[in-house]
Amino acid sequence: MFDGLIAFGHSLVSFLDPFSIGLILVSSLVGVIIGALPGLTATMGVALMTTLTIKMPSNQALLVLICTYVGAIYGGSRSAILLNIPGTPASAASCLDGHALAKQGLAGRAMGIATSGSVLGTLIGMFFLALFTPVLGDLALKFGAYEFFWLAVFGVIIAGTLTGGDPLKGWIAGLVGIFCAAVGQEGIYAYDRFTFGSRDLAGGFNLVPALVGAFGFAELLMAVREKAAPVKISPFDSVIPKLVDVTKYWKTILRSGLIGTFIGILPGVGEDVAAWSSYAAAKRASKEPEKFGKGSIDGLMAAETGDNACVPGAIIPVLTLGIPGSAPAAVLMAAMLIHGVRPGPMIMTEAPTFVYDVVAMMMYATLGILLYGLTLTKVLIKVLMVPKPVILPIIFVLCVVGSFAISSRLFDVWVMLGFGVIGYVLRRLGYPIAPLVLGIVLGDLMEKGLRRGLVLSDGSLLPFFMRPISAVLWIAIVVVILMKLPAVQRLFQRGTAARTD
Amino acid sequence: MHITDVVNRARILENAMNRWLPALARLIPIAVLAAAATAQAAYPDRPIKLVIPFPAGGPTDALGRQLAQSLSTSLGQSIVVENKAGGNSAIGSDAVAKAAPDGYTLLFNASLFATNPHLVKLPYDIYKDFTPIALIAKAPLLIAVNNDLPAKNVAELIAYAKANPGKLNFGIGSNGSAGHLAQELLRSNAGVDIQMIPYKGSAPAYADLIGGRIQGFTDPVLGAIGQVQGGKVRALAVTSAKRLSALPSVPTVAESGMPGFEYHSWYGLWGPPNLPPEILQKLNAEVNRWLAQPDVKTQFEKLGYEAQPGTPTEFDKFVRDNSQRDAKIIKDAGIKAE
Repeated sequence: MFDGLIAFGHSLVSFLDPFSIGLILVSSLVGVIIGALPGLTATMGVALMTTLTIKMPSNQALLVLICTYVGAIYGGSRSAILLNIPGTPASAASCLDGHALAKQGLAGRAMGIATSGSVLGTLIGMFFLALFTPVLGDLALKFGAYEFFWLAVFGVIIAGTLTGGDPLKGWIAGLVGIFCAAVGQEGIYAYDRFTFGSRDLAGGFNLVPALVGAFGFAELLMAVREKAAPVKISPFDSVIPKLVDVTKYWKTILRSGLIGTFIGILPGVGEDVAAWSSYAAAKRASKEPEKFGKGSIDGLMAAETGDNACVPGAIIPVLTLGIPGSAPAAVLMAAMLIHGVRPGPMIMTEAPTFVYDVVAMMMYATLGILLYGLTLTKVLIKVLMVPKPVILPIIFVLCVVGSFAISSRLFDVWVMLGFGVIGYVLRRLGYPIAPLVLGIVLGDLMEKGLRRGLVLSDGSLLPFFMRPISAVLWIAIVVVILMKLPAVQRLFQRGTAARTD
Repeated sequence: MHITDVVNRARILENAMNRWLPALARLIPIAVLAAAATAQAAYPDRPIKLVIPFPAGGPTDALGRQLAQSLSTSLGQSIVVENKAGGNSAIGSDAVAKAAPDGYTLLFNASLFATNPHLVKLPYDIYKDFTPIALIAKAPLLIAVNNDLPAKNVAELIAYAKANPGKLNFGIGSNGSAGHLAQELLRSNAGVDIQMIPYKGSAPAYADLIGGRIQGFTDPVLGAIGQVQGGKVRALAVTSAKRLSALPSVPTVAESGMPGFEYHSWYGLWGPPNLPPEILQKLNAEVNRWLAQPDVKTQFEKLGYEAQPGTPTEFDKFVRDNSQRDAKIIKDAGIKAE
């Protein structure tokens, strides 16, 4: 234990030269900007920085990459709060309450919450990274095809009950999302589905254009329709994160931190799922679930803590198993290999201090986002005061460029516009947009889990129901659905009514 | 308008034409020559686009970006990497096939390029619509099995598979990937029954391999070596012709009772069809110069790649040979194509 602390201290001190500090400052800022720009994801940011740092000494190069990664996941909340466009898929959940708060004139507060949530989330994940890396790495191995299938189903079912009042509408939106995920060449044998002979459709709907459309462009259409005056900054607004928010919502922070870290450890699901899961859990636990989606501090805190806790979580299996827990972590792992560090089960014998180096890098990345969280916010709030005729065209350009940038396909721009219109119509009809988006994220995982599981079990459905973790998951799903059925609810009400009599 | 006006105007026009046309006629060849001269002397005089038909962050992307980095230094022009992913790498490749053959749009792709025609319907012909520039590296594969599997080598694996038909599940990173075809080749050579379980990417496949849900997985050495050295999985064999310096104790498949067995994943650089010979030669020379640098060699060894310097003609033949062999494996294995 003390050896570990001493090693950690050594690692911390080793980054205290002016050059390293400069790297931390620059790369965290680059990360925040990449994250805040829609279309530039954390994965792309880390990949870009990998090329730029190839000639650097390995520790400094990895420092840059980790600062970029953490910065990008945090930075995505900026555009989510201010413009309702998730800067990276990880911030989609932050749009719901973050932008609602901004509309109430509390953008500064919202960004403050995002800052404290992200900083604390990273710290919680980091804590597990530092102390329990060997134990937790093996957790990833407990999840096989069967469990991932149920996890995905669980995600969509929970999302259906997340925002709107009517769970049925939520589930319908979720199913539409799953259907959207099925368009294009399926992920196993590359058969074309629902492509109508179009090569573009064969590539499927990319997540980023769909997100930017469903949130950003739909918001723009709403704004065009409404005759609202520009947001007035509330006198209660303040950009400094409030200690009260942390002490009041400590349960949410701790819960979301744990969920985020856990989702991070699982390969195949990343920051976006971490944010949604934390958000869903926060709503279930909240005393004021009706506020969610309308500017709930609890909800924003959960989403922001969850996605940032996922970052150290995703690095845990990289270090212990050589298996990345998320897409940006996969790039980070490739960079480690390029720099001659071989993450995996041998890391503790080959380079015992490396784990502490990574924890120290994470620590400095956290300081980086805290710094920019405190300084950059005030300037950014001005975005909200720009009059509509000026800001709406800029948002539109951002939506188009962001969708195009992800793989330079014009088709993605059409996808963005299409999902924007769908998002707008669904909102007008009272359908929540979150389950639709989560359906797109999880549809792929669900299908592959089911099909791979069936091949593994030679067509038997038994493992889906009999394996312990699977059983817990499917029973939870059944309970969630049952609890939402009016008949069951009446039964419970009658039960309590009878007891009170 | 009076007729004389028309005649006058026609004369004025004629005069002007008489004066200008010869001048133009004299200028055009000079302009063409000048353009040709600058094209020859100064290629590249503007940024080059390198299309990588995979999303940012994968193994192909990582190597492609290293190539871009080195080419931009040696050519003195920035190389813009464009990740045009989708359709089994067909979308990005198609963009290059249809680009102008001026050397400013290039394609970095993996062995999937040559496997693709036998798997999916393509909007291009891999021979007619591209100019092969250089083969860059081969990546040998490693056959790894779960630690609890009694088989300690390829011969025992085959014996086990024969004794327990239908029991073995092997993972594949993606349909038609090098690891997939290597496993199919092994399966058909040995005449045994191994169920192939498709994954997307190797991370979940390794989780299932270590966790015991699948018994084997074949992947480039780069991805497997950490788990092998850490004792999480057991290495049965490598698919290269010779043993690897990084894993000297792991035998090759060829020496394990299947002489001549060799299968690699590989990476190469292509341009649009009819690339001018001088540009082709220049790019090929720069790639070879990069591959000959000592630090690149050591780095490649660390990553489990074998640098493959050579001429465009050799590369062309390499692609054709590999594509034909893949066609046979896919046909024999009955891998479903569209």
